[in-house]
Amino acid sequence: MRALRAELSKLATLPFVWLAVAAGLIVPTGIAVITSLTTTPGSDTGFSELAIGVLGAIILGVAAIGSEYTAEGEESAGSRQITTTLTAVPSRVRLLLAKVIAVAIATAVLAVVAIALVFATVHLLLGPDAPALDGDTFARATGAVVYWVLMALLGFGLTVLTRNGIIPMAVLVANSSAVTVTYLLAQSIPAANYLPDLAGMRMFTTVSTSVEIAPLTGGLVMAAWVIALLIAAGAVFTRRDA
Amino acid sequence: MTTTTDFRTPATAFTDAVRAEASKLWSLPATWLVLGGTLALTIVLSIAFGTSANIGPDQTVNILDYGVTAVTWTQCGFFLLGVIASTSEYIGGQIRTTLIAIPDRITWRLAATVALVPITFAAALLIVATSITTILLTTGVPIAEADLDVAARIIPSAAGYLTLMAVLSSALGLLIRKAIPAAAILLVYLLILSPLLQGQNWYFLPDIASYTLWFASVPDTAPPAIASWAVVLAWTLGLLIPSIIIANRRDT
Repeated sequence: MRALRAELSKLATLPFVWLAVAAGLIVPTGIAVITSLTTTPGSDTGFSELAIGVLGAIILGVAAIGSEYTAEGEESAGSRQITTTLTAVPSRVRLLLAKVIAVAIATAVLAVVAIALVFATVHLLLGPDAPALDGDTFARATGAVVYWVLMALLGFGLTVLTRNGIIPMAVLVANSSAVTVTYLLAQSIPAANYLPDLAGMRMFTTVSTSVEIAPLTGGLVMAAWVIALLIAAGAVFTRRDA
Repeated sequence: MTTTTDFRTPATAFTDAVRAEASKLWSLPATWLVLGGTLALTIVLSIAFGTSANIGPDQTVNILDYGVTAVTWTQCGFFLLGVIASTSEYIGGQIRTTLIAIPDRITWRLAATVALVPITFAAALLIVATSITTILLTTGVPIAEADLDVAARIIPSAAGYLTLMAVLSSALGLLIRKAIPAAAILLVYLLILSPLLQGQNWYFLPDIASYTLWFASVPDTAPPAIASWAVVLAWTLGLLIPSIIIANRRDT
């Protein structure tokens, strides 16, 4: 519990995390403004914005562990924060669990605020054309929160393995951009539909490819990927030198 | 007792500084990882675009437009290269050693920039040419059908743009002094914001201005080439000059 509080406090005080939060709020809201003014509303209004805004969650997940491994501070003199962290919390498993829970909490909060902002924007600009706030919309919004949390943990798990956030961040942010590489792959290889991001997207968008996956199945497929990755990350993290 | 005096003129001192900076860049594993990864990704994406392009005999699109499409995505590699070039100084306090060797900050930053340019330009020429070649090979379009005059315009233009963007990224990295935040800012702009703004024809943005320089088909609304170059150059200098002034004023 104290480890969790420490990790939450780190997340709340890292300037870079606030950059991630700003990106996660401004990008989807800004896109919602543009799309509301320029396109006709469809079944994905408000949700396709969140599929791109997930980059805030990715950056947050990467920052949560990447910040432990950088040695760039003015007075770091080559040492990394992870050595201090492991002195304070020697159990690797407990540390990793605390970090995972902290990332999940922070991302869930970020996602809820982002969804509220996007839907407020869409309703303000579109009025009656905006998606109704009924049970279906709330179910999809919950799916979007789960998607953001899982994407943050995906970035987190990859960065545990690489110990450097640049490449996982570049790959995942590129993939959540306007043209996703996995989406292109899925055009020719049906199995690519079961990659974590494409499967998870079924939870809240009506993305249609050659393979139809139910929202719940998609969420479970993505969760399975993330759990497998976190188990691998945990196994590596407990065995190696910091 | 005899004393030896350093007879280096400012010019030789600057050359030495450039050589030192080039040697650092050259020996940084991250440089080669990023450039190698960019080349590999460019080839993979070009093959993917080439096989899905559906190029028939009655094609209306210029094949060279397909040839450089992959680079619009893999240009990220050049932004990362610039960021790494400047932020690697701050890993483990290497910056202190650097500043003891080259106490003059302005000399240091100019030398680092001069060292970055040739490596980036050569790599960019190679990557853009590879991208076009891969498209020609995968689509089966004979090289004779490609407009070589246009290719001679777009390859150096793309390489020039990518080089300037590496310089810009290195200036941003120096201002932030941390690789991941600097990379995050550039990636979010390049991969998320820029594609969304593509339809707006905002030619005052560096990448959108540059696409009028290194695509075969130039849109009707495009400004003249010299204006596009001015935009790209203004952005580069707009970050480079403040980064040098600030580096000159702060502690490390």
